[in-house]
Amino acid sequence: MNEINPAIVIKTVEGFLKIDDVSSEDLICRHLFTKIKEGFLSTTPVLQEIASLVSQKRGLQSAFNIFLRMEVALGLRKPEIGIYDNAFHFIGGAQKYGCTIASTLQQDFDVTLIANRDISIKQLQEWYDLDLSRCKLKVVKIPFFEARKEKNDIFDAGLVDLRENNPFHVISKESGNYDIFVNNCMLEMVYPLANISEFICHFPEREITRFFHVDEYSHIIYNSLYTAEWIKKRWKLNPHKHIYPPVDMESSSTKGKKENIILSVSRFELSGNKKQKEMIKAFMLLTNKYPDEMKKWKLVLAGGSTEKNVYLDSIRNLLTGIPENKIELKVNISSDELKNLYRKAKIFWHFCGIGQTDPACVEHFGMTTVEAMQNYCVPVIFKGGGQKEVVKDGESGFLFKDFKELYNKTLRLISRPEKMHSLSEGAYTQGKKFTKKDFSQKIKKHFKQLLEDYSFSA
Amino acid sequence: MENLSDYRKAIQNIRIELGKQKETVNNIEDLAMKKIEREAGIWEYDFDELEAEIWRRFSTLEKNCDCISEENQFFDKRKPNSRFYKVKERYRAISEPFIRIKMEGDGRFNLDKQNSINKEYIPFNLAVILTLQKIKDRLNTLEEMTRNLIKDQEELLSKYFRDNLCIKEEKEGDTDE
Repeated sequence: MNEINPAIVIKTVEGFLKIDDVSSEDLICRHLFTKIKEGFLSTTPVLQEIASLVSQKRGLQSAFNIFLRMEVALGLRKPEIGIYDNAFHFIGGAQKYGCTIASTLQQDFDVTLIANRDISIKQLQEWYDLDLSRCKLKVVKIPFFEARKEKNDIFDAGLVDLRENNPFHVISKESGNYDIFVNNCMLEMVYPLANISEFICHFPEREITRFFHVDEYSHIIYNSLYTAEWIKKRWKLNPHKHIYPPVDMESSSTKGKKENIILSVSRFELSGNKKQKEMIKAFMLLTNKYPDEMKKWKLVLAGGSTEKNVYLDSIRNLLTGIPENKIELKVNISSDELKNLYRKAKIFWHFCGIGQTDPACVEHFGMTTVEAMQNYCVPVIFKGGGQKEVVKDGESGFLFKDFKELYNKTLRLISRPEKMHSLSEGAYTQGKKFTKKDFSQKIKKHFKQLLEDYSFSA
Repeated sequence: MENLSDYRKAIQNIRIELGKQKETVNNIEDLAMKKIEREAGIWEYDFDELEAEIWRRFSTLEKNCDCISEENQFFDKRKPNSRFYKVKERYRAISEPFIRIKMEGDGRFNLDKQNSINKEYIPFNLAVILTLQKIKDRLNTLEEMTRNLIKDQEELLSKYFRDNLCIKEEKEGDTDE
């Protein structure tokens, strides 16, 4: 069985290490794997010598990665995936994307969700209505943010002093403990150390700085064509895989009894980026200008918020004295209550992006718009960013570029029930194109391909 | 010699041992045995540093001036519909294929051309950055001023919505009666 000379194997490894490229580690893995298949059974000291050689020439992480890969290739354990999101403790569309990946892959991989603040698997399951029972959770605190006096719920990477040390390297280090590392929060400052690294980009928010490491990732997965366009423009990188976010908000396959409700579902962001105040103003303007048409209509603003939110306070202030039968505020409501709202609402408003010049402030995809569409709710949304990929103007909803167009299109819908009906059907059909099933299939296929190459089973 | 299961166990043990060693290394560049962070670029400078750097590098720029002076601008100020402009454009169209041939034959020609353009471009662009930064400062000041105005405006709007609805409800009440 053991006719292969260990000295030759070591010599070959030494040869590969002379290649000044990361591919040399791949070559070493393939070489060892092939030799094992050919019947090479060496003694432990020989393997230790290889580990020591790689450590000296390429660092401990490289040596570790080679043995990590050999374990998977030889079927000694399941491959491990670490999915990182610095906002897992906060409910949001991007986090749902990451959790759905975890839920999809938990059968075939050992999945660990890496968070920066305390959160439980149970809470994530409740928020996103997903089975994450086989996933593990690891909380890695970042001292830079923990030490700050004002502990915000959102980690703002823009606060990082680019002349100091990179505070996200605690996550970079953690990334090296997995076969596959998934950076789900598009945090470009995390350097990937895993054998395979996937960068999920919901939008390239910041410019290239000293701490920019996206070009070190194996693949960039993007959520919309709008995002892809900006990855190319801003980072001069070509993203690899397009997977639209998973949306499953269908309350029932049949259309429920609709009420005269204009619904908005968006997070109450401190920056006011989702433009709820503008919606109140627009609705009141319509009500005052067209009292007969708008008499029986109501605006409902639903969305999540942090405990202290000055923007939400200013909205409450703006609504003082306006009766709830005209405008209603629904903050941090349950999934069931939200589904009920979608089922009842006839129109869905989304203003994110209006009056903006910064492309990051325009909706990158718009999951809530799709959620509304899956419930026969006609979207009237700002024509910008990823929203243009979701709604076909006049077929599955209306797009508007300014307030004048918004008023016209909303009034057209309200006064023409037949138009409302046809767009409602169109919205439902279009909304079905972005389901969790479709998302999971694409994710499974992508990771299966990665694994086949990783474990030499292709 | 070891059997297959011993061999596999050895691989696992080495991986676990390497993992333990890895935990003791805090510097990521030591772990990966290479330089990871990029060099600091102008985007990492704060405004004062950026300004100091611009004055240091480009002493020919007029200090504390928002824009470079007119005579330093290298672009063609002639109108696109002027006769001279059209002649120049025509000349460029005719000469371009010959320039390309020359460039292919003599790489230095291209490099020289680039250098002469860059010499003028760099100070121009840096001066633009400086100008934009100054505009940003002014905008920040204006934003501070408008924030208070928006607050007042919202209070007025809220009052307007309230009053308007009250009047309508009163009118509807009268009609019902």
